[in-house]
Amino acid sequence: MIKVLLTVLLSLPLLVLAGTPEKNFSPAVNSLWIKAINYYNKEEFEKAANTIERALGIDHNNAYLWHGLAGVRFAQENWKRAAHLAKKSLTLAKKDKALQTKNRWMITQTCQKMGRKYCAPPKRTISPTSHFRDPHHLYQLAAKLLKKEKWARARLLALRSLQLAKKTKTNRLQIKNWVLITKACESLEKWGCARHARNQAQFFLQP
Amino acid sequence: MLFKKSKKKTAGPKKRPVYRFRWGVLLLIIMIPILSFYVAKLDIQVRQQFEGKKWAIPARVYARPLEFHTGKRVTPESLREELNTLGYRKQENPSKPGQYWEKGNTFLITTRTFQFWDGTEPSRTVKIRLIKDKVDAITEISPDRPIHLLRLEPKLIDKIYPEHNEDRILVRLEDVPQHLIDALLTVEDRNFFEHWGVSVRGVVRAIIANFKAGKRVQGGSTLTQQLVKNFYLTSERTLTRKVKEAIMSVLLEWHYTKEQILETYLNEIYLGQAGKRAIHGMGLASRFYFNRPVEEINVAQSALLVSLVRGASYYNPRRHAERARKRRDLVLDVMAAHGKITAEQAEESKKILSLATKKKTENVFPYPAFMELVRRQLREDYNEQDLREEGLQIITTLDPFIQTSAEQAMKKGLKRLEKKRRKARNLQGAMIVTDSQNGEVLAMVNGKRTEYSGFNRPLKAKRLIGSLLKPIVYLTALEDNDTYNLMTQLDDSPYQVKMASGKKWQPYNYDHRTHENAPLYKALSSSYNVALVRLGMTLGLNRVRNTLRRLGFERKFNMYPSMLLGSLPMTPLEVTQIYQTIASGGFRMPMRTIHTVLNLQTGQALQRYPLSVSQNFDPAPIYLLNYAMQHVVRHGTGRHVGSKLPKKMILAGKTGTTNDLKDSWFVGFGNDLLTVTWVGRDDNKPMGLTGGSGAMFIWGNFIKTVRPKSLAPSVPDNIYWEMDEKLGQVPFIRR
Repeated sequence: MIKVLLTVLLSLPLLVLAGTPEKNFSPAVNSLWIKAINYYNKEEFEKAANTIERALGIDHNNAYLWHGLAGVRFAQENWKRAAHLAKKSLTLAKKDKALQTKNRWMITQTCQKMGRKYCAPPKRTISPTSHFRDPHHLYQLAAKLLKKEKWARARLLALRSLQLAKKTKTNRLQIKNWVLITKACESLEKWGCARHARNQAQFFLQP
Repeated sequence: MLFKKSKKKTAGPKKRPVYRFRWGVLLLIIMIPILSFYVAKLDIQVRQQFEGKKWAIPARVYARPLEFHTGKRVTPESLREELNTLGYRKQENPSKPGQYWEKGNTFLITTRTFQFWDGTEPSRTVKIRLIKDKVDAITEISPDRPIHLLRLEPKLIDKIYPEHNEDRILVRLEDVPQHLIDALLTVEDRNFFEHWGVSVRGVVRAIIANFKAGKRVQGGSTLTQQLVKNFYLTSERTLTRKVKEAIMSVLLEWHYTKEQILETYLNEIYLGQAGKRAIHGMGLASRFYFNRPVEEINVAQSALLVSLVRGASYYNPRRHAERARKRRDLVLDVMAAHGKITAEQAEESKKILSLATKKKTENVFPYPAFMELVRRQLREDYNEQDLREEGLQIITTLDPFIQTSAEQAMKKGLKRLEKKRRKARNLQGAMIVTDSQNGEVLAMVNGKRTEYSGFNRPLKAKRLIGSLLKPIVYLTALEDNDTYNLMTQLDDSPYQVKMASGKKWQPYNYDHRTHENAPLYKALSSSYNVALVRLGMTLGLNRVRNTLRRLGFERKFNMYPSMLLGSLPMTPLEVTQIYQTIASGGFRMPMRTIHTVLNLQTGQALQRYPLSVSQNFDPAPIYLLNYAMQHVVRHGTGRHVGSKLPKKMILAGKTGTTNDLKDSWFVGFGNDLLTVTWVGRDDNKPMGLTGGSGAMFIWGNFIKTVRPKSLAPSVPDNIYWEMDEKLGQVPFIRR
C-alpha cells in the first residue's frame, strides 16, 4: 500500500508535466514543451530542464513552465531547488487554482523531503476575515454602505477603520474616515457626532 | 657468419676449415638488435603520439545563439549584422549553407549545421518574414512547412589558447571539399596513395629538378614525411633527422590508413600567423582567410590554401597579394593539367581577384570585459590546462545585438556629456545588462574603448552608490506592512543622528530644502535624504544590512548611518546582483555568464549552469517598491529622461548621485532587461553630473535602441488597490 502511494506521489510531477493544457503556450513554447516531456519520459532530466529553460527564455512569465521545471528538479530529488521554483510558479499562477494547488503540494512535499518537522502549506488566498483587520478595506466597505444609504453600519465600519488607521499613522485614511463619519452622522441626524467628526477632519486638514 | 672459409685448397690430409674474421658481419650482428631497438622505440613514439591526444585545442567561447520564433523582436538591421558576423554571404537563391538573400522584410537563409547542447540543429533553407521589427512567420522551403523555432549557430566571441599559442579547428576528412584534397595531392604528393611513406621516384625527380635549376626548386618529401617532420620532429636539416623521418614515415604508413594520415596532415599543417597565434590546419585557415568554414570554400580558395603549404609567410595573401595570386594560379594550372579541374574552371577561378577577407577573422575579440567575468566563472570549475587544451566549447549568455547597442549608447553618450558640461572631462562609464527574469548577463560595457582590455570597471570599480541604496531601506520598511505602506507619511524635517563617537551628523536633502511630511512613494521618487535617514534609523541599521544581504550583497561591511545615503562602495556588478532580485520579484538569481560547456569531439554537455532561483522576499513588498520606482522614471529624479521615452513604455528605475557629483548611477528595468549604468572619472574627481543627467541619459539612449518590454509584474494575491487623487490607483498590502 505504501509502495503504491509512494509511486503515485513520485510520479505526480510527470503527471503535471504531461497533463498541462497546451493552450497557454505559443507554438514555439509548445514545441519545446513536448520535447521536454519526451526527455522527461526517458528520464533525461537535465535535458528536460534545459529545454524548459529554453522555453522560459521565450515566455518567462509562464507559471506552467516554472512548475514544469520544478517538477523536473523534484524528480531529480533536488528538493530545495524544486521548492523555490514551485514558489516562483505560485507567484505567477494568478487565477489558476489547480496549478496553485499543485505548487502548494510540491512545496509541502519538498519541505518534508528536506526533513523539516513543520511543513505547513504556503498561505492560500487571504481569508475573508483578515480583510476586517485592514483599515483600507474597511473604509472601502464603509463607502459602499454609505452609497447604499446604510448609514449606521457605514459609520461603525468607518470607526473601526479609523481605529486601525490611527495605529498605522495613515493620516489620509483618517481624514477620509472622518469625512465619511460626518456624512453618516448627518444622515442619521446625530448632530453632535457630525460636528465632532467634522472638527476632527478639519484638524487634519489644517496647515 | 663471423668467420669465412679459406679459399685456398690444400692437397694434404683433410684439415679443419679455417675461418677468417669478418668485420662486416660482426657489425651487422651488433647493428641488427640496435637498429631493431631504435625502430621499436620510434614505433612506440609514432603510435603513442598518433593515437593519444594529438593537439592542444583552444577553448572556443561563443555568444548566445540567436533564436527565432513568432513574435520575437528582430530588426532587419540586427539580423543582417548577425548574419554578416557569422560569415553568411549574400547570394540570390541561397542553396548552400552560409548563404542568405534579403528582399524587403523577408530573409531567405540557408543555415549551417551546429552541434548544440540539446542536439544538432540541421542545415536548412528557411524564409523569415519580419513585420514591424518582429518575426511574423518562419517557413522551411523544402519541404514547404511552417516551423516554430529556429536557431542560428552562435557567434564566436573569444578563444582560450594553449601556452604555445597554436590554434586550429579540427576537420574530418569527409567534410573537406574534394577540390581541396585534389589540389593538395596534385601539388604536394601525386603518388600519395601508392607509396609506403617514402617515394624514391619523388626523391630522384627532385634531385634532377634541383640539379637542372641550380638551386632548390622542388622537395622530394611525401605528405607523410612532411607530416612526420611537423608532427614529431624539428625542421633541422641533418642527415640523422632525414633518416629518422623516413623510418617514421614508413612506420606511420604501416600502422595507419592513408585517410587517417591525410586527415592528420590537413589538421596539422602550418598556414599562417596572426600576432602570437599560429594558424594550423585547413579548418582554421579557411576561417582566418575567408571567414567561412572549410566545407564552403571554392576551388580558387582551395588553391590558395594549398599554395600556403609551400610558405605561409612568403605567400601571405594579405601581405603579398600579387605573389600569392601567382602561386594560386600556378596551383590551378597544375590541377587543370592533371585533369582535376577543367581548363574553364581554372580560368574562371583565376578571375577571382579578392584573395582573402581584409579583416583577419577570429583574430581580435571585442569583448574583453565580459570575457573576464566568463573566465572568472570558468576557473571555479576547470583548471587552467583543461581550459587551454581540451578544446572546450563554451556557450555564454552574451547577446551581441544588446552588447553593440550598449557600447554605442555609452560611447555616444559620454561624448555628448563631455561636450555639454564644462566639468565633465575624461569621463568613463560602465554598463551591465542582464535578463531580469533569469540573471543571464547579456552585455557588459567598459568605458569608451570597449574593445581594449584594461581596468575592468564593471567588475572592479568600487564606487559609492549614493541613492541606489534608498530602495533597500524602503523595501525594509515595506516588509513591515503593519506600519508602512506607499502612502505612509514620512517626516522630512531637519534631523540629527548621534554617532557612537558622540558627534552629531545632520543629513541634508540634495536641494537643501525640507519637505515636512511626504508620502513614502514621493520620498523615494524625489530621493529625499532626511526622511530616508530618519526612516532607516527607526528601522535599525541591522535590518537594512540584512535586507542588503538577502538581495545578494555578499561582501563583509559595517553599517554606519551615513551608509543609508549610499556611502557604501560597490562595483556595478554588485549593484546588478542586488537589483536583479528586486527586478525578478524577490527571487534571488545568481548572475550567469555561461550557459553550457560542451566537449568539442562528442558535442556532449560537460557542464551546464542551470537556472537557479531562491525566494528571498515576499512578492508583495517588492511589488510596492517596483510601483514606487516607476514614479522615479516618470515623475521623480529621472523625469527629464523619462519624459522622452515612449508613453507606453513602463519602466522602473532609480538614480544615484554621490557627494560633489563624483558618481552618477542609474538602474532601470522592465519585464525583460535590467540595466545598471555608472558614469564618473577614474581619478574620482567631480564631474558635475547627477544620476539623472549622466548615467540615466546614457540609459535612455540605450533603451530607445533596444526597446525593452514594459514592466508587467504579476500582482500578488494580497495586494488591493485604492484610489488616490494624485496617483490614481495605489497598491496596498492586505494583512
